[in-house]
Amino acid sequence: MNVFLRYDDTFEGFLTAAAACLRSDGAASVLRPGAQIPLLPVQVVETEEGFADRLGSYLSTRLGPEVPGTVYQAWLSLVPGIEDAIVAFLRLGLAKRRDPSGFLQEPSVGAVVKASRKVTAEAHFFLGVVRFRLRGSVYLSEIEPAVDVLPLIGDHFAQRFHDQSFAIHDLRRGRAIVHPAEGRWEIVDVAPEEAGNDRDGETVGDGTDDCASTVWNPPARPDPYEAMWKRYFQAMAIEERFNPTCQRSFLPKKYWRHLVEEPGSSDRRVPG
Amino acid sequence: MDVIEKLAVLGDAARFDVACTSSGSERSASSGAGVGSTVAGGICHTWTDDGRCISLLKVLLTNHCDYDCAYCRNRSSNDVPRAAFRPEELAMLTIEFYRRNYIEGLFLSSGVVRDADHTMGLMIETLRLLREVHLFRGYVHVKVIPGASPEAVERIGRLADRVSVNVELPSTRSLLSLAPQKKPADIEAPMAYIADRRSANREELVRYRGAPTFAPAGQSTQLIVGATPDRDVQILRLSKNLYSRFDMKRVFFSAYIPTNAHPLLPALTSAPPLLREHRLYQADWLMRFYRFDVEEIVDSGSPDLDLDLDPKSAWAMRHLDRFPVDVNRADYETLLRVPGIGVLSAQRVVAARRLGRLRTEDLRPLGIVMKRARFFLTAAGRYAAERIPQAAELRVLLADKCGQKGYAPFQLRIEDLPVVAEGA
Repeated sequence: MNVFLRYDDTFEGFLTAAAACLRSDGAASVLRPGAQIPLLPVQVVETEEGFADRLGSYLSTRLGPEVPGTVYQAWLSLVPGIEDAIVAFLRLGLAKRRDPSGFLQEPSVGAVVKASRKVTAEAHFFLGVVRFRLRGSVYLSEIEPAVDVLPLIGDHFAQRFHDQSFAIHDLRRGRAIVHPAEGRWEIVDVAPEEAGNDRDGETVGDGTDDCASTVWNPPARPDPYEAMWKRYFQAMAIEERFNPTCQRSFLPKKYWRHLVEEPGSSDRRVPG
Repeated sequence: MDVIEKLAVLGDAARFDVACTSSGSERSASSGAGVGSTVAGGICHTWTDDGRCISLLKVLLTNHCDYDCAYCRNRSSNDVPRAAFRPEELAMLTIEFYRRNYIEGLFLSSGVVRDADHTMGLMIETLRLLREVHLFRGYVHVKVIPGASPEAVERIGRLADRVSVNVELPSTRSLLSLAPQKKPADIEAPMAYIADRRSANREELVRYRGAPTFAPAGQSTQLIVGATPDRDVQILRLSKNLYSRFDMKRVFFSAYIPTNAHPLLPALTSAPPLLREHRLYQADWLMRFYRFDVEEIVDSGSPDLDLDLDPKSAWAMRHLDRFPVDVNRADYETLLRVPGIGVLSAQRVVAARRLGRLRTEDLRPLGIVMKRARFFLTAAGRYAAERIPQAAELRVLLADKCGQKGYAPFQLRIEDLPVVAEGA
């Protein structure tokens, strides 16, 4: 008989549930929090502290060093049904004693690999399209990624800009990477009313609230480098090669609003 | 002139150079002073309205130029707005853009002022300020001016990640007639110097990990396509030579956009040959990642690439006797030659076969483009298409539907694919 295992919304909790499924010979299914409650019995899984690390190193030695990462990235995608696909993926790997990622003809493997690629591609994309706006001495960025990329991009920005204080705010999920200069980065929840204030309650912007599209208030004086970047962006397009379809396939329109450069603006450019 | 005006003029003047990659160099950030890092695969930061990616701040140091190359917008006899950055100005601009995450680094080229070494001196000063004063650890790509002395090339190679000397015109005859101030030897000498220093540097780095690097991301070059009557076979043979003689990372192709009236150049009204440029990149890929030789792609008998068919499909059409191949038995090299199978999907086929015999319905999930591949494959005893088409029909079925217009320019980022190029 089928059993549904419900986990809290952490990756650790998911792994605890997934391991329980693997032990149960295929009769159990993982239920994400907030999912519709089925008519069949539901069991709540107690998240085991430190379990993720133990399972991670087990999978890494047993199946290959890439496996824990693939599983984590696929889980981040939150694609419906990905939990069960991950369980089937791991079951196949354990049966064959190797990284199952190559067996793409198997639907579960296809689903896991595709979900993981979706997440890593989105994270890589945001390494490029995060735009920092300088507010006082703090660099602030707002993004609206399709999936939760913050855990995957923090290290990159923290290393590259280690001497900068910056924050990357995921507006869709109400969370932000916060990095003090020469400090460690962390992900914090940003409540909507905190917008414009940093975590210690000090005002980051100038306190006015005249810009509805951005939660960080605009500065008193516009940043000259933003105008320069916009001008440069427009100057780089070659009229003879204009190709908005191609542009949008790499840079979908839904991401334009947080960019500084205003894509699509170069056909209006003023000569000279 | 304001910096913003200079930026507009000198960005505009640099935009015809097609290389944009920030790849090939992996340098972690310093934990001490300084800003920046590089990522081996490169990072695109935005895409212009023509669909090309911007990764680096691509500008000329100045577009004042003593040379009068017929194909170039910035040639001395053209009446275009001129500007010049002061080295400090450009170093500052790069840092400020970088800190806002607009760019991966700087791509610096220049018009020729006075002579090659004087110009190189200004570029070196810019990079020195960037690296030694601003402690910038991001990506830098520099164009070496043809005729630069070994000393200047040495200095620039130590400061940059990638250096390149542009060939521009695919034959000596074209060069002599259109760029009378450039000599073939002025282009070859720095290329050879860079190639030698790179191989020496690789040894130094093996012996001592902390040895100073010389152009760790290698060298590349660019060829203008469609400005001169040179055929594809000449262009591709030349690229092959450049790859093997100078250990090039990339040979870029740039479809010529008419800017100047000249009896030896295409009319000002002619459209840039974008589709031809795309076919050349496809052929280049076949040589670098698919183990094709130039002579298998084009030869003196058919010196130009087929514009209707991609070069791999064109090759397959000429070798129908080798198909179909059994996807469960074919070796990696044979799989690479099947239209619709790429490097990644060929690797996936090899991996997936370990689980058991592949059926035709298993192929699409592996990323094989069945629209083309089905005519060339069998799986588990079945032909992958419904029936075997006639050759003429097959040609139509394989043809790209994209016309010259609205065609997506080739993206240059895949440069460091999970490389199988050197005999995996």
